[in-house]
Amino acid sequence: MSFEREDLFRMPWSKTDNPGAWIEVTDVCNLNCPGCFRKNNLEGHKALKDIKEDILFSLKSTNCSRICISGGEPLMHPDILEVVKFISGQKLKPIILSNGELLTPALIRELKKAGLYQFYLHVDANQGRPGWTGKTESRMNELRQHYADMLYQGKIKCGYNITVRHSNLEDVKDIVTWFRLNISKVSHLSLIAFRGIPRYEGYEMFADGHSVEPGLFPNNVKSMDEIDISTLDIYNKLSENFSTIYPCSFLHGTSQLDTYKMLIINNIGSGSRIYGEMGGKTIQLYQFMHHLVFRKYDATIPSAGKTIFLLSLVDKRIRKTLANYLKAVAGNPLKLFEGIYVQSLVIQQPFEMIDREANLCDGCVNLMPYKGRMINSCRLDEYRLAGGPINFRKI
Amino acid sequence: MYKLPWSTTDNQGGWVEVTDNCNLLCPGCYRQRLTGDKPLEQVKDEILGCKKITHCDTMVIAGGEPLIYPFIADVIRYTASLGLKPLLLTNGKELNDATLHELKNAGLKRMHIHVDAQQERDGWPGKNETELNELRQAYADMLWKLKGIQCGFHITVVQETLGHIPAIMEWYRRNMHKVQHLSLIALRGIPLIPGIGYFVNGSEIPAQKLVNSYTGTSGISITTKEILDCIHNVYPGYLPSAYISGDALQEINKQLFIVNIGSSRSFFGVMGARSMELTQAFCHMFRGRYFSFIPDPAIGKKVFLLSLFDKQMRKTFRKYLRHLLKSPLEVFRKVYLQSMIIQQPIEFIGDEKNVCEHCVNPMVFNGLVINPCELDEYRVYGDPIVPLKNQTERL
Repeated sequence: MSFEREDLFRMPWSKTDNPGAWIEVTDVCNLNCPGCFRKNNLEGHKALKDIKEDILFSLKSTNCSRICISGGEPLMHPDILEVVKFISGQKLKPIILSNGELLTPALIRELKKAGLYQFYLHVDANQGRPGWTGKTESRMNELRQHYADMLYQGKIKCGYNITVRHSNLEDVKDIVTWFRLNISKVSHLSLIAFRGIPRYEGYEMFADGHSVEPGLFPNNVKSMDEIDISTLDIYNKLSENFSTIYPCSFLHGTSQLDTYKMLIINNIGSGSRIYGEMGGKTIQLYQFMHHLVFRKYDATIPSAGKTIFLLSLVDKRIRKTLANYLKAVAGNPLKLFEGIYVQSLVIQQPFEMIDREANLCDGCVNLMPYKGRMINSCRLDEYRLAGGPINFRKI
Repeated sequence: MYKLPWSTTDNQGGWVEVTDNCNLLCPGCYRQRLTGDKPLEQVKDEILGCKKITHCDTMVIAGGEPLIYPFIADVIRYTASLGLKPLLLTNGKELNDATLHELKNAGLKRMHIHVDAQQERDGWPGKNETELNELRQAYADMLWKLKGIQCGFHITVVQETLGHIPAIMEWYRRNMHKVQHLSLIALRGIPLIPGIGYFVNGSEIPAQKLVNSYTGTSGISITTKEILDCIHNVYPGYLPSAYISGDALQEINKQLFIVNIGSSRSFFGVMGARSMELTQAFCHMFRGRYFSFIPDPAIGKKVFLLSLFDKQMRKTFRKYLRHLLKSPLEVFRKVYLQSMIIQQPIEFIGDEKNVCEHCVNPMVFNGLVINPCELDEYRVYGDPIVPLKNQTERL
């Protein structure tokens, strides 16, 4: 189903009033995913003192309500529990972004105790994981289910990040089918179109007064064909398989306003089926009310249960969802006793160069501290490796 | 302060330029005379395009000097017919009662007049900003007599202006009922400094040929903070309620918003951040777009209801009540709103180009949505100017 931008709410987030921030506790990783935008083991683990300073600086600069703890692989950091505890102690929601290789039920219990709010796992078929090489995304759902069950047992919210390339674009429907079936266990899924740093014939890359070799960056690409999947390509692929899918909000690009850098779809359903989605009115009301009450925006979706249907008073998409739910209850009254959940599906088109111009997310939710300023986390290695953001000059 | 939630695609304002001809030659003006009057159909297309992309509430009609554009009444009529509030930005030289009547009948809602001492207007040579209050008063009286078109002023702030800011403020407050807006805009330009080159599309350009280039930064470095400090010297505790930060340098407040509340005789105080937030949030929820300016500045005493949520408004309300005790007749006088914006426009700081994060008046140019401050970069060079450090060595 195609959608109208008019129906969607443009999130009111900006650099200084944003629900999210991002820190990286290490650049060491125990996987070597092709196309990763972070050079492995350049600086190693950060000291806990520096991480705490990063957290406080991020909070002051962005007014965030959540902080993503990323890396590298953050579970390899020896003080990861302290980091979670410190963020939670600032009344912020800590979220870990991990490949999950080191995750155990015991660690989940410790993380829960430290105050972890949500655990996002990056699991896709291109990672070359030991024991999972050459598997399809459909088969990778087994691994996803394993982690989802483990986190469900430990009562930590679970989410997934998946990089989408041409090799797995056809399989996103299988991932989303699995995701929708697990609405009670998995609250978030990000489908992230692969992006990298391209070369332009006749131009040299330039940063901070230097020319830069593209090979310096681990995510440099030789052909634009590798990085041409858009959020709309992914959305259209899903629409072919899920007839009612409809987004509620978005962020567009900084230089290309017609690109959807984030397309947000909030499913409402029970363990047995998805009844429908949230509309733009609900997400708007939630953002504005959250800011009025807590003086911050929120990028996570709370579990509202059946009270979510009260918003059908203002939101026609929730009215449709409620109608589907009531029909299902009429057919089987036992469904009245099922829990109702909300899960968010975010289709992303990260930082990219279009005609040599940077097209970032306008309202990026993952700004991070670097040397006394907040930068887009997608561009960290441009600063680390080249001294600043890259530009192109004619040779 | 409240960070205004506006973005390029969900904004309170849009901007259109009908001509680049002008009957004044203000030093530091960022607009070159290149193309003259635009065809009316093109102007209409740009207004419609801007409305569709930005969802604006107000359309600023600017130039050049829009009052010398032959179809100005048609432009205003067309803008109003789209449900937008037309706001004319003029130097006022062509203003007379007959023109004003025609513009009012066409649907003009507001007029901002640029009057400052750098303009060297006929009949006002060598006058300083304090003396120019007389000219401002003449325009304000002309609009007040007519009724139905709100009046505002823009003043470019250079070093010599700073000493006159208290007198401008005193005049402005005294005209609470006649003048609804004041913008104090720090002069900016392109600094020619060693070590920095200016590039467009990968090639260096001769920046010294630009009309708004300056040797060094001394004439173009007044900040919003310095202007606010000047105001605080005479009106301590005069607090902005909202802001827009810089895109590259977020610690810089590019725009500071202040809303005065008073009567034709007295100034009671200012609105706080909570009132600004409530206004924007509820306007967007109920009307689907953000709020630009109130149709009737004589808002009345109901504005004090906001003191239920806003402590700054409570202070203002208490001051109003004290006025009533001293002068009970004040209860029969109307209560007015008056807005003020302190601005620090597009600037080049080292190798950073610091635009407003989410320009308040995006415009359409050749199908693109751009910042009006950057229009001549597109018109002259085809793309925005990028400052880069001069090459030092290869990595």
